[in-house]
Amino acid sequence: MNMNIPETDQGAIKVSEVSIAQLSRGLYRSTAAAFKELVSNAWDADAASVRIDTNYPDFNFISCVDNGPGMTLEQFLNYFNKQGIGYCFKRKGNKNITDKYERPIIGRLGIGMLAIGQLCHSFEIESHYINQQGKGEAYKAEIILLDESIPLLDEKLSDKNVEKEEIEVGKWRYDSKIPYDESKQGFRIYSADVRDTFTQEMKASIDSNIKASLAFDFSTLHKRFYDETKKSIRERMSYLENVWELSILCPLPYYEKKDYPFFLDSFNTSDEEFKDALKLIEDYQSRFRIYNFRVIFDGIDLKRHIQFPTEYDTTPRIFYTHNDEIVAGRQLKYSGYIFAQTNAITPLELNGLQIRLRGVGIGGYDSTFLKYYKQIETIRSRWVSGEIFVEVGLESALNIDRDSFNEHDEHFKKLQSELHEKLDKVFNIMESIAKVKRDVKRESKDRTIHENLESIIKENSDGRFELLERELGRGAPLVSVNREQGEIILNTSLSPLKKKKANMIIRHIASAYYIAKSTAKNSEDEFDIFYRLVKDILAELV
Amino acid sequence: MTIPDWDNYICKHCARYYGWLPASQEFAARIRKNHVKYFTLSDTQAIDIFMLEMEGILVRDGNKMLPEVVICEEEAGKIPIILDVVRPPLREAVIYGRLQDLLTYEEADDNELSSAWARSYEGRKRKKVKEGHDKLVSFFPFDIVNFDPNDNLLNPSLKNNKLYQALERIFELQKDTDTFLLMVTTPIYDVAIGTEDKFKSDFQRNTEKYPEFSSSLKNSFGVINFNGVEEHKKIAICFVKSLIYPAALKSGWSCSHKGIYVYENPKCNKYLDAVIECVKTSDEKAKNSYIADLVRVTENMPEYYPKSVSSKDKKIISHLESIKAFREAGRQLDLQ
Repeated sequence: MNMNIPETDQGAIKVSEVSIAQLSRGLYRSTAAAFKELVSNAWDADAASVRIDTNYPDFNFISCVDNGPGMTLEQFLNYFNKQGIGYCFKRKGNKNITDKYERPIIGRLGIGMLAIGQLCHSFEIESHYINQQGKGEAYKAEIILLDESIPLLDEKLSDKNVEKEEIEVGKWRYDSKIPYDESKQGFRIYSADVRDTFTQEMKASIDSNIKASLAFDFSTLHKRFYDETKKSIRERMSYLENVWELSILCPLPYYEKKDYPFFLDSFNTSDEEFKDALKLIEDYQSRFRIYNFRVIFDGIDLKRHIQFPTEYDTTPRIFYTHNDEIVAGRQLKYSGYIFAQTNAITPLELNGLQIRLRGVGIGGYDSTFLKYYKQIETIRSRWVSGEIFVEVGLESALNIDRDSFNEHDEHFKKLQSELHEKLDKVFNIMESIAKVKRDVKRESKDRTIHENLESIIKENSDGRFELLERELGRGAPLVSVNREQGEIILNTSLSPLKKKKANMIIRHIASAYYIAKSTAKNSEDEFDIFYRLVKDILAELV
Repeated sequence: MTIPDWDNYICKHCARYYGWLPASQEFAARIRKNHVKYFTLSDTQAIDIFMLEMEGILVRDGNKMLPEVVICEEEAGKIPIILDVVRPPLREAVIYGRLQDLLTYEEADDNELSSAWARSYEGRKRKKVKEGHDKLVSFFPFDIVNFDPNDNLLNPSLKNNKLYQALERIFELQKDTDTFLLMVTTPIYDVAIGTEDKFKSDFQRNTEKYPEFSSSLKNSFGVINFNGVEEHKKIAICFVKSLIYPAALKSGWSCSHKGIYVYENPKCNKYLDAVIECVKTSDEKAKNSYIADLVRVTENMPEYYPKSVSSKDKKIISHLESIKAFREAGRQLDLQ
């Protein structure tokens, strides 16, 4: 046995520098998710607006400018020098809401600023703020994440001394204090050293047609692009997808001109769940108005532009869900609406459940419904879209990318099981609504076919035959012809196949055979009539 | 060089109002285009852009964009402000980089760097210059070029002055048009010794070579020697003769000065602003037109706006205010 290793021991678990260093490589699944982090920083800073620009249509420059109180030089040095990446002062002293607008604080780890590092190799910071003595101060700084002088992380990790050394992931410098400018009050982060991959992807997604009709008014942008989307927002390519995704993820009110994410006249307004859901939306809207926050992306004032139902004549319903209880010793409180219609929702990115934590969308709409296995393989899962607003709890389940959850966290598990229970009800109700609709539709189709066949029979037999449907029992043939009475009778008691539709087709094709046989003047005519009837039947039924 | 507060820089607005504006109006009316193609180093307040928009020379399209406006900006931190102020995004992006670096960029400079671009911070910076150069060059020719770089054309001396080389490049790059309007601004309070020497020798040589010039000097100032002419007037003459004409002539342009304006900055240092109409021409024609233009410049220009007087010019103050109000009204409209 090695003498230096005691037989038993205990101690605290520490985090290696390497783990933190990995964060600088980028954490976010999409461009919009990275931008969302910068937006969240501005939200937490009590900025009234944050403006992101990409220097459209060249996309060779990124900037994020907010008009909050700015980051003091001391905070900057704490972050980049003293404490290191990951240091966060936002929630110090159990602070849970911001000072000015009383917004729920989003950030927990001090890594949001590095989100821009996912899109560029170096960036600059400019901050104008009022110091503790009430005096205006400002500074500029530069952060370089990629240069020959900075060892690549992989090289560093394979270095045998890695465990002893601090990992350098970049360089920073603040040149000097600059004059405070009141009009620049706030925090600015910008970069002309944008990754080529970002520039190229965005540029490639703006063709001349898009460029010609691109609007910088969100409502017009919606009309021209998103409302026209037949299937997925992806059809719109990266740039427009990014604008859309960011508008959905950010802590923003719904598109104000409509007030609700629903076309109210499409619903039964006396329904209790509908009323509760509407109240939830109203509360949300009024709260977000008080929060007074705007996100302007390339001049586009973003809003949560969601409108349901997305198809007419779909018998839409809205369900409401709410829970407030102690789970694993901690409070979990949430409310939400679940919208459902009897057709697929478009765009498909709105299909699923969007969990919103402190107003921010986590990971987009989850089309697995938090792994709801019962119905997920069926077409019906495309009918549903919901938003769940978590007010208290669930934060411990949030993964470091703030874009996904630890599925074994107690709060997540609770939320998951409650929502699945709700979804059972949603899918059952929607299925019964759809069934009624399907039956009505089928009856109408049956009627049409029957009428078509009847007119063909009459035409070909000079009115000698008529088509009837009767339950003749299992012993009787599928189709029988009573020449004397002039009747062709379909026996609806027989179901040779499992599927109702298949049985209907068989019954009608069999009747077509008898009709042709009974009404044709010769064998050539017999085939023509049969062929014509089969064609008509299949056109109606398939 | 310190950046003034353009919003309250009244003396500068004299040059815009009395010089840029009427010349642009006249030029735009003559070329009869739906959208005048305009190049500017507008800085963050973009007074020139909003003046030309307010006066109907620059017109926004159906998407509220300014379709033929190209802005160049060397300070990255100013780009978001420009994008915010000029709102909504221009149809073309702001070109990032120092104008003189972009226009004088040569491909050969970067042969060695190209392999290290991705990893090297400096390499990537050079690459940005190349991209900015390519982009900017692709926009030429313009109808109106506003060469107002907040830098000095007279210092360092012309031979080593990158800004002057950039001006020469502009004349070259305008080759695909027959005419354009050029506005050139430079401080004249800090002239390099080499530039002054050149001015002096060119001046003397021209008085000997061109009798029209010496007689116009005599008529205007009563003297024909360099030192006898008032400082800002002789700089204006020399600016035209030693800077503008050679650069223009090299690329086959004849120049007609619509006006030269000398004004003072808040610290009472003098700036010169020339408004020049350039027309493509043959060498011989150009030479003749230069003499006539030089005589006009000598006898009628520059107009001088000292701070003490022009800062109280009510017409100028009110026009500048109306531009700011126009700019703000557009922003408010966007917020609705």
